[in-house]
Amino acid sequence: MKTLSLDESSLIEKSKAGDVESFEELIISHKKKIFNIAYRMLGNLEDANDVTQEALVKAYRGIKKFNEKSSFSTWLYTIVNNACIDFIRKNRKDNVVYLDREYETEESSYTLQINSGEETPEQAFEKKEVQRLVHKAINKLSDDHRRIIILKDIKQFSYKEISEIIDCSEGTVKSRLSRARKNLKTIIEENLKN
Amino acid sequence: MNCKDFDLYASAYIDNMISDEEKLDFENHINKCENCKVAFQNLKIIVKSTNNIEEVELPQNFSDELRQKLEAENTCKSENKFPNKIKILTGVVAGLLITVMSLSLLNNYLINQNMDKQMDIAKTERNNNIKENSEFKTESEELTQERKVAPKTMSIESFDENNEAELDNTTASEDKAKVQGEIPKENKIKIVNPVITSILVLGIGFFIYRFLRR
Ligand SMILES: [Zn+2]
Repeated sequence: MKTLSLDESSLIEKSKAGDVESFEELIISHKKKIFNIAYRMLGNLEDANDVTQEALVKAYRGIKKFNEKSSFSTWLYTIVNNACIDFIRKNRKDNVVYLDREYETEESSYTLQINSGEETPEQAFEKKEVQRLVHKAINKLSDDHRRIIILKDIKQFSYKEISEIIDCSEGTVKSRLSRARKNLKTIIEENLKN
Repeated sequence: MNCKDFDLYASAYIDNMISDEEKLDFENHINKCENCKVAFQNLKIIVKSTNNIEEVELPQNFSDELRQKLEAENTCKSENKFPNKIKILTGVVAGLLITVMSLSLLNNYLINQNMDKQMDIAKTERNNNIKENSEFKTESEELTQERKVAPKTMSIESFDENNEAELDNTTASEDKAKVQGEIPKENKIKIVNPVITSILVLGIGFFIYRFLRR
């Protein structure tokens, strides 16, 4: 996410001229990441595939307008973010989030290791429990909160990069992220109590 | 800080997006407040777990599917799109042709106006000769009027410039010679115009052709 490397900028030039192979090389290190962002955002593999393909075609179509002063990857992830938002708007009439079956079965086979005599809900919990619950809890977050958790905690973008991708200030990233993490924590804690 | 600020401080602390002062403030509070201490430990565990979520693999045919879509994108483009440079060039040529057209029309108009005046002057002059220069003042007024028109056309008919400049100080008889000299020029305009017009027609035709093919 720094300035353009020489390789990257020559691949961009070739892509602008319509060279498919150069474009494929340009996105080779991003496509899995993009797919995973879409997967976490949308909750299932099929939609993630559709949206990732669509976003990459859009990027290829729009690369002529890409200004090399900005970061290619930020530009690319902005397109992906918008594609996810569009897809959610079009396809999710109710606010239900669909969980993948693999996680549903995983959850049913797993038993909580929490003591029934627990008094404080703030009791520290164990990591392995949390890891299983995180998948499920992320999908229960609002779109905005889920997005920021995906970008920061799953994909490890910086505050600055996130502010560019979702087009807001770094201050907004900071406060939204703190609220998203708080909600995530609340969801997990409630799951542990039940 | 107090417990209310916990969420913002804790989250920024984990990312190291906090000032040294705030950091110290937060650490002091955590050491005193058991609730926030536990909450912070839990938050750290959650963030760490989220960091460790493993990636899913791309679908097997992902790259093939993408390749097909990108290539389809290319064929769509080449069917209805000229390279940008040619497009820009076409635009420039069309713009130039339009400029030439409007200039030549304007030029024509001014020349005609000019000619009319000169004809008038010539007539007046002939009358004057008959009247033996009795109305010399009126004529010189007309001459100055003509001078006002002349500069506009000067750059285009530079070969006339001298003639017209001379007019400034001429007597009526010199002017007569000038009017005679104008007549071949009128013919010249008629010769030039079809050329410009045909270039224009070709240019506009070319432009429309490009536009339709787009
Ligand atoms: Zn506290």
